[in-house]
Amino acid sequence: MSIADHTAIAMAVPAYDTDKIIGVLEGSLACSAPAAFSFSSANTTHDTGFGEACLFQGIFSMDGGTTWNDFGAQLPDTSDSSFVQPQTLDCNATMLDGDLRVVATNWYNSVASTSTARTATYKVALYTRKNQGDIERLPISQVLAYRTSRNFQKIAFDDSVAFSLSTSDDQTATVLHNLGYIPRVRAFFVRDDNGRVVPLGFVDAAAGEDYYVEVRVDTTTVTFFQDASFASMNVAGRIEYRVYLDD
Amino acid sequence: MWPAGLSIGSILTINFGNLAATSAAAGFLNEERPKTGSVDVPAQNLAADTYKRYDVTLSMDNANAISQVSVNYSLETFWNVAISGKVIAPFDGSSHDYASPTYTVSSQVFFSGTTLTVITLVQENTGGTTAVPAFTVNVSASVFEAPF
Repeated sequence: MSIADHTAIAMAVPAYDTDKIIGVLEGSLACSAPAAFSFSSANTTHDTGFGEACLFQGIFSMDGGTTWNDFGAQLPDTSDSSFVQPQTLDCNATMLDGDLRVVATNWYNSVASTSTARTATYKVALYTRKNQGDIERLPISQVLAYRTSRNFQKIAFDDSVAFSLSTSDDQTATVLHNLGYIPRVRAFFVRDDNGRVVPLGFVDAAAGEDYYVEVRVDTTTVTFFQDASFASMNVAGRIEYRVYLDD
Repeated sequence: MWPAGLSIGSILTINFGNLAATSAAAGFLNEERPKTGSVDVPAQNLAADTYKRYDVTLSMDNANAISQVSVNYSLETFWNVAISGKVIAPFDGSSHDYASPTYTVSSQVFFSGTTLTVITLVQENTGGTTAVPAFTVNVSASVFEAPF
């Protein structure tokens, strides 16, 4: 039997793409008690088998999985009403080729004058970059649901801009989105020298790296800005960003 | 070529305008509206090398989720994405001054249980008394479930 009128068949063509999650990793990093007014750190590398870098979002816990925070949260200690210890434990990651390197940093509490050994338990969701090509995803125990009855964060714009970290010149890059509202934005710095994918704002105190870049958003524009006074590294690269349709 | 005996009984039309792409793997679930909050910072004279602290707390369950938080200081016309959990904004009066800020506004984002806290510090930088204008710290936060 042939289809009499194929133009009457409506095809559900999704209007927007979503982040494509290709794996979930988890682990833990034990940091020793730091020296006074200093920090300790630990790191580990996961070989994803992808052979190339992808994007990722991670969470970590300092209390064995009761409370979770996003990578980079640094977990300030606000228990003393008269002083804030801005950092206790942080966990973050970068990706080079197919290797995800996770770093945990544990700070001395200069308010209470205490030094505590801490363990960061973490989980990382890996997802593809634009035009990543063919990657065999890792097995995931959770159900990957993409039924159309559920809403996933949808990508409005997925691109990159040249942006180099500089201690001598201010850096600015703008992206027009014209959505008419304040959208959500995620962004990574990709180094030109080795292609390492680094979340904006990533800090590795032990390695002396700080990738803090301001991400300013209004109803028409996303602006990436770094003032030279606030930079600590000189690195050429690009910012890969996603502007999401969801507010 | 359809198999013999199979007929098309009806045409299903789907409004695809609002569909997320059904691609090979799932994304981050977005099934909660953003939550917002704010705190007012009063005009004040900050004593040398001191800071004042202002918190915004939101009830949010981030179990198996990643979050995205943006912060607006009403002295600015834009929102700052709390990249890796922090925002840093140096000021002189009502304008940015990176080279010689008289005070710095910084915010940190963290969860404790099912409470999101955005702690904002207004830090005096000059070693003398600094006038800080009144402004509001506005916060917008969302959580997105991941297959953790």
